[in-house]
Amino acid sequence: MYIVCVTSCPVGIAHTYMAAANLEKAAKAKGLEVKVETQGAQGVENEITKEDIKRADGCIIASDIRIKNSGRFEPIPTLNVSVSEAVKDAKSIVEELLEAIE
Amino acid sequence: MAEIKRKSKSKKNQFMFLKDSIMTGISYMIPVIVGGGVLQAIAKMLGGYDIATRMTDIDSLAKVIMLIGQALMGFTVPAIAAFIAYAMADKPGIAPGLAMGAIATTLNTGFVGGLVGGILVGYLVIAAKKIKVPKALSGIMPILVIPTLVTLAAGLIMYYILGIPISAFMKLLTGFLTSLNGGSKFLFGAVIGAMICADHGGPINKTAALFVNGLNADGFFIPTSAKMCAGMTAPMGIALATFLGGKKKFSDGEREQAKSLVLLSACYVQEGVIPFLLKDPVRVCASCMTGGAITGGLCMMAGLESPAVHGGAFVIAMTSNPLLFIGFWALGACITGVLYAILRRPLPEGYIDEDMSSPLI
Repeated sequence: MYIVCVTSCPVGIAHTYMAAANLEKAAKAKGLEVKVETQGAQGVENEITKEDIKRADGCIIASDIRIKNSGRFEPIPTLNVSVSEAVKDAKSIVEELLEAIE
Repeated sequence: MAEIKRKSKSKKNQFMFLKDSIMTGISYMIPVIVGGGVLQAIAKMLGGYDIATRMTDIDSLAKVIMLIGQALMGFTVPAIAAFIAYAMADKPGIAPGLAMGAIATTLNTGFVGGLVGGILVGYLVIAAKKIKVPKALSGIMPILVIPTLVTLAAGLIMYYILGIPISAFMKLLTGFLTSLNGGSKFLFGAVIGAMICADHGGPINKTAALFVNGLNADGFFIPTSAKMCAGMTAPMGIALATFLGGKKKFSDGEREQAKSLVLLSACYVQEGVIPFLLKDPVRVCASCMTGGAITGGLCMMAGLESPAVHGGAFVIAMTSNPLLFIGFWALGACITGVLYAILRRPLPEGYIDEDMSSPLI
């Protein structure tokens, strides 16, 4: 299974990357393939491409702000959460996504 | 979007939509206010702290840097208005949003005016997009009709209706801040400091930071030093606590992680405290808020100005009194550190370190 994530927070220097690291860790612990795009102060990094979306089974958007190009996730089931949830408990977010797409 | 409905959490309502939009606006405003603030601070370092009042008499590099900094700083309120509108209504919101930001300066409604103007534009553009027009004309909606009519409508509303109470409110707030003295000044700073150190980047911290950054955008630099200095005490304090508490109270992982907190403190990145806060919420929160409140209160009372809203140790030299800033920072960190070292319970016998690696460094 392949999931994609986007993380973003207002300042974009700490929470964005903490959430990204935690989601990646949580997904890998579940044996999933994962790609996390960060939209921090640097702008978009590790961008999720069209090919990724074609292949992906689900998407997690962990953000407190409006993310860039949210329309591209239209075709896949998407779970929207706040960035602090991903910082605190990425594991249950990944579980929630898995439960919903199964 | 094929959105998954969440079971336990409340659905996205209008309030959440507005909050996300305002946060988006702020995320675009921060580089503007930091860049502008730091450039002006550099100019003050080169040309003297009162350079802004002597601009017409001098002709130096410092003056040019000051002008560049002021030019960027001037976009603070337009940036927040434009990007709130952008977050709410996408691209067509930007142009009218910029106008609302600029008019906020004219009307003396400052940061609050920009915020309200941006939201107003957002809703007007959303409404304008819903108007059904013949296909042939649909192309001119976003490039002609929306920029012209929405800007006009929002501008008139701001000028004749909303601008009046906001400008009165700003006058009241300005009066309140300049009239503060002694104890009330300390209290004001202490509240800012305590809020900043309550949840380290969470909603309480964000609310206080939003208020202080708004004041900074309107030219009040003293609360900014209270905010930044208080925020910097927390990571340093926790690091100090792990040093004072030693092996009996802190695991190897925690003590290792605390080393990175020293660096994070210097960078004014409070988020490094979060792993500690999650493990031991009440004690960490109480210690950090105490240290932060005292530091915030002292900064406010001493009238310490910081034109830069972010930057930590790298912008200390630009505050009105760098030594005092370092002193308050160290004092707050010591209070937090000693307090937490005392409050913290010793580790249980044979404690095994759980994974607590910091994703930050």
